[in-house]
Amino acid sequence: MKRGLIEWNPEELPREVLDGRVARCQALLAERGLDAALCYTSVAQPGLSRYFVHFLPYWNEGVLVLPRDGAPMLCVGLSNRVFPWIKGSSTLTEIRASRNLGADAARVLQERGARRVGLADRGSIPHRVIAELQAGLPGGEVVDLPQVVQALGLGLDPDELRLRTAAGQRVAAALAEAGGAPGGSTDSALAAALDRAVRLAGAEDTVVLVGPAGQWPGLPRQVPLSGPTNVMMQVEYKGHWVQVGRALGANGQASAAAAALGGLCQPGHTVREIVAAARDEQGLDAYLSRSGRGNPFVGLAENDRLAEGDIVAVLALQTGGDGLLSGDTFAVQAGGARALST
Amino acid sequence: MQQTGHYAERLARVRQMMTEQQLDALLCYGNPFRKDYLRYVHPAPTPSPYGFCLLTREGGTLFVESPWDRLPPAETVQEVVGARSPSGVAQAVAAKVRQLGVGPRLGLAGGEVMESEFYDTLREHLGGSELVPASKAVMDLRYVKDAAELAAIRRAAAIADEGWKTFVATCRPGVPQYEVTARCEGLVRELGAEDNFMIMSSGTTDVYGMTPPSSRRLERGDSVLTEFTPQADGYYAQLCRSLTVGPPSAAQRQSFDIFKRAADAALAMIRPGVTAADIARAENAVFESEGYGEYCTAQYTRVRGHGMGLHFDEDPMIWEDVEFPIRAGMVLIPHPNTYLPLAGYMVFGDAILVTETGCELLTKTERILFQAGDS
Repeated sequence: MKRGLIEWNPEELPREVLDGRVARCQALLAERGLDAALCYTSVAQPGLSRYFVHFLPYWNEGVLVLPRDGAPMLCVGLSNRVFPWIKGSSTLTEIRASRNLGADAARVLQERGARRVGLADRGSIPHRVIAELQAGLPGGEVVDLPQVVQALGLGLDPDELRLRTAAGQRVAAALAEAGGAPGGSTDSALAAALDRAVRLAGAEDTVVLVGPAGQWPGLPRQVPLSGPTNVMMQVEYKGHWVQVGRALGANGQASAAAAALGGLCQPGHTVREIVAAARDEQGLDAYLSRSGRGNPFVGLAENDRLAEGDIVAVLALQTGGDGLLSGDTFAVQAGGARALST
Repeated sequence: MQQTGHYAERLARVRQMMTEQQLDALLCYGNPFRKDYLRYVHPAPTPSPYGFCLLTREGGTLFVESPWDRLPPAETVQEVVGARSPSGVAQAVAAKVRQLGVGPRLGLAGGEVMESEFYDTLREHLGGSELVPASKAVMDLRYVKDAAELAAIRRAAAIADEGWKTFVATCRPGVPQYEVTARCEGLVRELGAEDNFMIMSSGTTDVYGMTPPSSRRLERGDSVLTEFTPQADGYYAQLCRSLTVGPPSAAQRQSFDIFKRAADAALAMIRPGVTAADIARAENAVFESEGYGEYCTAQYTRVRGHGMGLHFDEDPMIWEDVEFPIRAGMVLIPHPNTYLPLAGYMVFGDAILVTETGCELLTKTERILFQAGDS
């Protein structure tokens, strides 16, 4: 859950970058004959509102109404007492408190005369919000607006990559500080040390899973550590997530495998091909997920195909040997993937 | 199926509810925003970002994203099914429902937060089963906590007490808010907390509520407030406390006295049979007697307390129009948190267990206005 530093630093992410993304989205709406886009956001799926207006809900949920003309506005389940905080940490100027997000978003759209509305990454929106929206827009047309960020044509957005890399650097520093898995300690103490380190470095959220080599890591349970330890870290910095898998106390044995995973993530390759190559060439049981749909990462099916501009996380466990964990977050680009977390 | 183990009674209650509601099976859903319904019937944590638990009269199956299906499940299920993607998981659920020949009424708990990709896939592939809203029926079971639930909440409350000590020790002039939360977060994780809902604020009459921590550095004379809510074994317990950096001013002392008396008024009247509205009125009466009744309205405060358990902000909300009868075995936090012009927003409250004759404080932190070091 988000309890870390949630602030917008315009020096780190200039206002023009955010406004530029909104303008590109508005051009896309015009091109597709849409009056507005709706982006769902919640503490668990803040990606789209973060991308366009830098709103990161620390709790609760909301709907960002992004009209073809004019400034985006937010319907949100948070109280009006925190609106000053929302305005101070995002580019938003218009916010409404809402208990029925879909119905209230429909009201806003009606007020603005919007009739044809695109649901950004529809699959990630709670069905109840969509049902309320449709009920509130009689005669209106609600259409899908899939993969909206990719559709903006920004490719590998340099600002996105810069902040993802900043997140990756925080993970790397925390893992380096932890060193090998400290003998005599517990999985909870290790997770605490990693969590504390990245939060002190400005991260707003973390997930840390720990387990003995040979197993997929799980939530820490105050179990004593002994020997090589598998760790998975997901860290969010300014809304930009990275995921890393490492085996601590294993003398870097898994690092070659981790590097090899990046080489497999080529544009055009299917997940099935990548998983097979990881298995056959590296002896790894690999899982891929992609940043998108507002989520930190969403698991990819075997038929899914990587495209240039994707941000993918790979997590893999050695099927033989010591069962060490490896994995990084990569930007998929022509000629190979670029690791963001090493 | 005769279920044994720690959760036998809970599953028996759930299956009795299924019979009463004429549900042929129950599907509980969870995602990172709300995993509470899933966790109620599958008490072990899963790192999977989302999951389903299908309970029939005979057994249970957990559905999660791979590779998290490789981790040991809770004893409430006999099978774990994994798939690589959200649509794959939803299709696996539907396939199981069809394979089992579940009848026409499939209860759905947690459906309010279910993303349309899951909902639409289920609707398309379920065959002859219809999704019937069942969150309210399951929530009715969740209000009164069983022994295993209370043990978890007591553990969370003890972690909250320890966490508050770190909060006090960290609050010094010059320390940024986010450092305070980072150190508290580390501490509660070290003590075994799975999660922690924590918001805070610092300042004086300019503070109207709590938010995530900022980079604002604490100053001598600040009031520093937090809702501290660790999660242990799935269950949350909340502690609300305020402190001053350096000695409190007369206004801070006067303000805190009102909050303390309001919280005491709630504790004094909580027992089975009173309503959530009664508790809110008892708290608000103290503010009204001091001439601050307007600060008990939605303009300045969200609620006057709430339930807790698998979610940190469960029903019933403690508010003057919530005529919800309180029962023995419920866990609540009455907290008269609001803004007062005396010293700004302030918080004060403890997690309590409603007993047959009154209530028991679950958090043990001293019920005072704390003072942090000013060095």
